[in-house]
Amino acid sequence: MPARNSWIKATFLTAGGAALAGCAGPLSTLDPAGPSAGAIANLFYVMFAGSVILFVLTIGLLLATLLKPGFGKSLSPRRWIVWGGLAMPVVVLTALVIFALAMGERLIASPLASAPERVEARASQWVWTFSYPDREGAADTISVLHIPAGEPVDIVITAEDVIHSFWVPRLGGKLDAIPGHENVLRLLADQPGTYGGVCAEFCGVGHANMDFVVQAHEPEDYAATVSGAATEASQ
Amino acid sequence: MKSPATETVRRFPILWLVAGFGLWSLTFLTLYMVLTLGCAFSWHMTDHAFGLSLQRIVLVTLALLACIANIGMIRLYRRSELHERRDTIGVAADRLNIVALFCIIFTFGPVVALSPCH
Amino acid sequence: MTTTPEPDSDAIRLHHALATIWDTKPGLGRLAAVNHTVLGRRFMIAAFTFFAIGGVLSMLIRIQLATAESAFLGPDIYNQVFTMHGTVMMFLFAIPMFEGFAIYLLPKLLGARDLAFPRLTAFGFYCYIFGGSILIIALLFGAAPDSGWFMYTPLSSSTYTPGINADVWLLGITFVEISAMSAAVEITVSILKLRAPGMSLTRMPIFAWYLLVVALMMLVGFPPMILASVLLELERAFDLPFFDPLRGGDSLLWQHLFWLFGHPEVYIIFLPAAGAISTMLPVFAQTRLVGYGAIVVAAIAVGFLSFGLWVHHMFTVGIPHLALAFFSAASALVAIPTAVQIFAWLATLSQGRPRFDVPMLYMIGFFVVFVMGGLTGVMLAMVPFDWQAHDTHFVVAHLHYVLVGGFVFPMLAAAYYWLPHITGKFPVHHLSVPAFWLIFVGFHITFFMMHLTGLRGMPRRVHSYPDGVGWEWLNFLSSVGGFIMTIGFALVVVDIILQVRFGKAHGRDPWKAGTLEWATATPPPSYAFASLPQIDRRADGLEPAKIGPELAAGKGYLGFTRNGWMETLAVDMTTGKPDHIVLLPNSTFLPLYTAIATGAFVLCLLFKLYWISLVPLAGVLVLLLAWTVPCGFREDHGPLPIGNGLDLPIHYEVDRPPSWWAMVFALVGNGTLYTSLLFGVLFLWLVAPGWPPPAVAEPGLVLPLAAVLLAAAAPLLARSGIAAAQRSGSAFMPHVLAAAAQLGACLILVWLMATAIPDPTTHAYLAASFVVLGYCALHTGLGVIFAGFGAWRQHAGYVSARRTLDLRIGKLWHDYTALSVLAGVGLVLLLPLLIGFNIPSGEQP
Repeated sequence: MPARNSWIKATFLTAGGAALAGCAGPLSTLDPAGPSAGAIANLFYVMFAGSVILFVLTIGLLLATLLKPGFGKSLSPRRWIVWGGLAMPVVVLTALVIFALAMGERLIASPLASAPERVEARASQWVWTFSYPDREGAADTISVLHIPAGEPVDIVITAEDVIHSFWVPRLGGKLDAIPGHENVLRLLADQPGTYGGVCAEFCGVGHANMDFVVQAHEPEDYAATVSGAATEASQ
Repeated sequence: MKSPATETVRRFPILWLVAGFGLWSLTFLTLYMVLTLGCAFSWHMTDHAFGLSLQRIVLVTLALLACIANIGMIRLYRRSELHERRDTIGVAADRLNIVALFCIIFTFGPVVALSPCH
Repeated sequence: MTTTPEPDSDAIRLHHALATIWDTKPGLGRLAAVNHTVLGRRFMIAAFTFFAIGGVLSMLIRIQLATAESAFLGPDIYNQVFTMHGTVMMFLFAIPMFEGFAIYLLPKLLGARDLAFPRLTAFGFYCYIFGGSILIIALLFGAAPDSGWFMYTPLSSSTYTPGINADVWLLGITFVEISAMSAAVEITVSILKLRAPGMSLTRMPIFAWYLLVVALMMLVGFPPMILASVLLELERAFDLPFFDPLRGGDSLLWQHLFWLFGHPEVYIIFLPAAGAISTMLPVFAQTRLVGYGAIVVAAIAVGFLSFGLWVHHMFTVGIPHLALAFFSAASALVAIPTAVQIFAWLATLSQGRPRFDVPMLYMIGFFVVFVMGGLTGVMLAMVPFDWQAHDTHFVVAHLHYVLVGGFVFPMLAAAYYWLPHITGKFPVHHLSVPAFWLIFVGFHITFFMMHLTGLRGMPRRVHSYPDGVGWEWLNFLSSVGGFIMTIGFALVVVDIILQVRFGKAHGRDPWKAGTLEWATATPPPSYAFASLPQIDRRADGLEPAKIGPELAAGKGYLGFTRNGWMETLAVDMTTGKPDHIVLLPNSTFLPLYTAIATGAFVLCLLFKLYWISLVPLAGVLVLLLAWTVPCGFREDHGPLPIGNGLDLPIHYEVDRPPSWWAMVFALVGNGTLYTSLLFGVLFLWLVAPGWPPPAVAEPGLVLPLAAVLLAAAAPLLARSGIAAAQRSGSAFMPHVLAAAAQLGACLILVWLMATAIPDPTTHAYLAASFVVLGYCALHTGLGVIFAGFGAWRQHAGYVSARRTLDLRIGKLWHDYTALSVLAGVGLVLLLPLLIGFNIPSGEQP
């Protein structure tokens, strides 16, 4: 996956996306650090390239009809509409929708043969509290979520007051924290490291400051850190 | 089909313009409602014939029924007075019925494959 | 009035005769205006004023976000500012702007003298102004809504927004929506019935098709949001917990109802603009619109599809993937009819010889901006990408590309195209072109950057952001672009003022258009057409410059005055065959008074004076009854001449006049609201946390059945009353009995609300049952008034064998009420059984 990602990215960059150069950033969706965000970034690059082509085509046709009177006059209006308005979008959209739905099916937290590590993210105004039900004795952490790197993690997202949304752009898409509901988001960090997260759903005056970080550890360090966090919290 | 509905359509042929997409809307509501119902009652956990869940069987059947109903509607329309006139509206109504069929297939096609409750 | 002097003295005499009847009176009489030209102009001016207010708010947002860690506005003020920016632009600018545009233009395009319900136009205008003023005044006092224009619960519930702010939104916007709903009914009926003779559906100008679709969409699209606002206000005011997750409610119910309105809303805004493009573009291509049929198909398809994609605003709330797929597919599908329209326009250009003028410039701007917005729209329709982009500035960029591209640019083109019609002056362009470029370039600098800011992870609705995340220069550029765009808009204003002030007078049809509105004098007289044309071809290929003077000379239909009546013609909705004469009401203060009473009611609710609010509510009812006083006759007229040798009856004496259709369409809207309520209850049963409820309603069987039977008796009695009237000209008793039946049903329903439902504040199920019964009680209560009104009209001599309209409108109400009582009581009886089912897990898997 990373190989294909960088290949597409390279093509895209050389294709002249100078405006997008420097996509890196602590919260950038185009600087993926996991397969979920990586797949979505690829989806974006594909759609972006397609959009550029379609935009150039449509506006090119517009300019041609405006600047070269008589352009396209030999083509009957019926053909204009059937080819440009029907055939082209039907083909493009059918392919795109199937591609995107297949991708979505891979990314959702459907049951796996071996159950992934489960952690809990509880949102309240304006702080994230994380707990580790799979780890006995692990204390809650505030604004810092520890996960093992290199393996999928299911994050069980709930809210205690209003709606919030859990989002770590470099790892994958967001999922809302809705009072009374439990949503499960599956993320995977390829490498150990620290990844920024924000609350993406407007939740009142503290909305902008409701950020957090995800710390991915080598699996063997993970257990130690989570229990270590218990010590930190108790101090 | 000699019903008040046919009579109304005869008097207000403009209703043919919304027939196909009316069916699409009805299918949409029904499928979304049945999907929610099935998930609430764990129909997706049941295993019926060929490894298909009750949820999948019900949804696919409903989507197929919608397609059949739409085809029936296209044929019914082609026997109507409005279609006989073959003016802009008569042609538009026919096209709308066909477009609606395409939309039913496109919108509800995913019932054959995707996770119904995850 | 006329800038083109009519040499014909008959024409001048006719003009004076008509103007005496139709003109709005000067001075305070202006407040009594019901004329579509006057009110259309007022709607547009008011909408533009709100646009300016919304624009100032957006400048505050851009100042705040220009730098990281900005301290210009605190989060509380910022939240009010962005909430109000969205609210003002959507509800107080976009919708009213196109309403005003449609009100001004439609009758003239269709060859009618006014819309079907001029007093309703005026009432809608005042509701809009009063509702909008409530919001703006609240903003000035720092008490504006601050939960976002989408008002998600529970943030907007009384627990987390205890002040008056959210109530201002809920009540103010619902007040404004009265005008949207009345415009929807009025536009639908006017397009279907009030056209020039010979204008069959297939000959209608394409703009009318678009607006027909839009008006029907509004009828079905707005009620879910009105319902949601009412339920949330009930929760805030009386603690009925529809959205409270602790008591069996669900915030997702709000989201579903809101976006069920919110997404169609986007197309409700776009389609009128597309209609304007389809009208203007062929004029500048110097040819006729190609693909008329394809565009009709596309507009209808968009109308429906736009109702199947609301959940794409909710892709991240945790709905099953298959359900997301329906909405994702529908979101992608809606791009196809849009592409059909775009290629129909391109084909039109290719078939003609395009010439350039300012409207054309804005239309090119529309193409560029809107195509980009459409492409990002397709991206966002793809579920996985939306998981990343949702609630980021990427979406902010997308929605501005779509709304500014799809509405503001076309409306600016329309402004330059139709202003000469409104003012009678032709522009002397000095500023138009630089203004365009400032807006166009400023727009892209502002919003193109936001795609990138969003992709780099900046969420929406944050009042500040940290340094060093890579968002600073993008935001700064956006702010700079915003100010460039604002300068452009300011230039447009100056340009328009210059045009009004110094423009040159022009003759009929200055653009060489083929649509009927250019056949009026400019500025148009109050009655629009001195006589009505016969249409013999598609009504965008006419010769306005030729037929205009003929119509002014009275050579069409109704080229005379009689009895001081305001007359126009109604046609068969499909064939366009002239069907009857419609008598329109004259200037009156009643719409103003009614709107004031409604406003007083809203203010009472806002300040929680619930008992006092009954006084203005009664006032509204009495005033609405007073609307009927000048309507109807005590004698039959029979067919009357309309000119050209034709005789037609007046609308009181026909089967299906506009007012009958208005009732049908109003009930369609009402039925949508009620259906949303019933589905909402079932949704809570299936999805909401906190079920089963602690107690169930115990209405028994006898009383509910009695209510259903009484409500069902009313339409039967009304029918027998109508049949008797048609036989013998009078039948008093059936209506009295119908009133009694409705009263009985109403009392039973109120009794059930009071006794059969345990404390409705304890659980959403009980609250919902309470409200469903309340809805039924309200309708039977109004049924008493309808039946009583029928009896009174009968008694007062307004009913004869030929004149049964009042009774038949009442019958529609009784029919609807009987059905809704059956459905409502049925649901209330069914729910305890449903709750009895053991739902394995209360939450969504």
